[in-house]
Amino acid sequence: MTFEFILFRNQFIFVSPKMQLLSKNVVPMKEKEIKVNSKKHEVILFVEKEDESYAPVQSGSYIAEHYLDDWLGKRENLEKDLKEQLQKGLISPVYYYMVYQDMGPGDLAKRMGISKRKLKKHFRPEVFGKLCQALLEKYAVVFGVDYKEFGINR
Amino acid sequence: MNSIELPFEHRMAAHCETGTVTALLNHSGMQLTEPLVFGIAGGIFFGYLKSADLPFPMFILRSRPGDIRKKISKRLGIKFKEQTFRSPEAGQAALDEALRQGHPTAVQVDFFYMDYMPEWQRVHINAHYIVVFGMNGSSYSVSDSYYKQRSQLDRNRLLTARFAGGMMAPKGNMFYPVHIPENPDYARAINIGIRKACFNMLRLPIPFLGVKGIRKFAEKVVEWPKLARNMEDLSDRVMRINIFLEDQGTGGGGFRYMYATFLQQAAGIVKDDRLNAMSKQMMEIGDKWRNISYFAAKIGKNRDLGPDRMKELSGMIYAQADEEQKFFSELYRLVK
Repeated sequence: MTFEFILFRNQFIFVSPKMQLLSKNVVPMKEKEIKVNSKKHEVILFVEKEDESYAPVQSGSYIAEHYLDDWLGKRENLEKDLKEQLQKGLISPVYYYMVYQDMGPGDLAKRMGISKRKLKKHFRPEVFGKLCQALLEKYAVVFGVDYKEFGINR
Repeated sequence: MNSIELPFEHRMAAHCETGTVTALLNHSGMQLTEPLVFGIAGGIFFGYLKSADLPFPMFILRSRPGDIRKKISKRLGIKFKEQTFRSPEAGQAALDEALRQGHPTAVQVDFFYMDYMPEWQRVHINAHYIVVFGMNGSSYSVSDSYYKQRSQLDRNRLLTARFAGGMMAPKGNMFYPVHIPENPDYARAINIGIRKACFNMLRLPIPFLGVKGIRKFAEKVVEWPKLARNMEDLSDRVMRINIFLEDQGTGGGGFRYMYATFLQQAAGIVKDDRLNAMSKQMMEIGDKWRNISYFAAKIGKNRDLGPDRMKELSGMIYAQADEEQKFFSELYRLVK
């Protein structure tokens, strides 16, 4: 199979052999082909049965079976990187948990009932260190941790 | 406190909201399938979203959370008792009272606090639904359609999950059916459900919703490398395309397989073979979304995320927009 360029929306798009293979071999959602034997994460998928009717089946998750290790590795690296920044005093625990738990600043500010501007101040370790206990406890509830994990003893 | 355990059949479902609504209706004696609930409610959709509330741009494949219940109720004449609360104490008291009265009750929660799920799956998303069917002094018995068995959830944890703030805050939202019509007009409800879905996909005058949203996604995905923190973050975001399409409660192919199943079941109810043909087309569209999701997972894992590869991904998504435009235009003509 060779490399191809196709004209698409007035521009040439490069189509790799991998993509050509994918586009020619559409993965059909047939019952006998879909079952993933994995207990890591199970999902319900709608598939075509042998009698051509469509129905739900319970299957292991394809991505959990094939890509979970990669994903967990990335989480580990992210945690390590954030911990390093935390120890160097570059970020506060608020920023650490917000990034680690994949939250947007707008969403976190709403959950805390404070403005985004105020939240961003709490990303600075020196400001975070002066927060009152009530606010720390509220952050702890949102992040689902004990506030003592923030490393501040009151 | 007296402990209560209502008889309630736990079943896994493809999606939490349709699964929860279906389970409650089945419990009340109305035998509807999950795809019929999804289709009649006009749940199929697409939207490309970018906001300060989100850590990264994302796409949605179904209508707004809460719409499934509202629309199924309106189109089939089902009445739900639905409540939201300002105070957590009032919300908890109302849930306890509903259980005492014998109603398994659906509650909207932040998925992050569902402790029975593995830690790696739990994310902050306020649009998760579970059924509460029992309680004792310290915990509630819950049925979560994403989990293979019934579970127990700590009382305080459920309260935190029901009153989490932020985007789409649940505000203690809970509901259960109180009236099931004897002979609902399924044919009419199916027709309205399909028409509304087609309208939402084709005619909403908003540039990031419906088929326009798929094109927006195709246009913007090539800019993702600029938005990511680093290569690992970009890999994670691209691989999430697979999760959003396949794993995050869609029934596979970004809800398209579930919609194909709805069309097949609807064809049997309204005795219209043309819907059967459309369901086959929808299944093929689902297959192509599935290809996109596999492709995204593969390039994400291999960190093969250069401009050419992102452009290739974008081209696949553009092609999907054209396919869906054609499909929904044809479907609209059938039901108009």
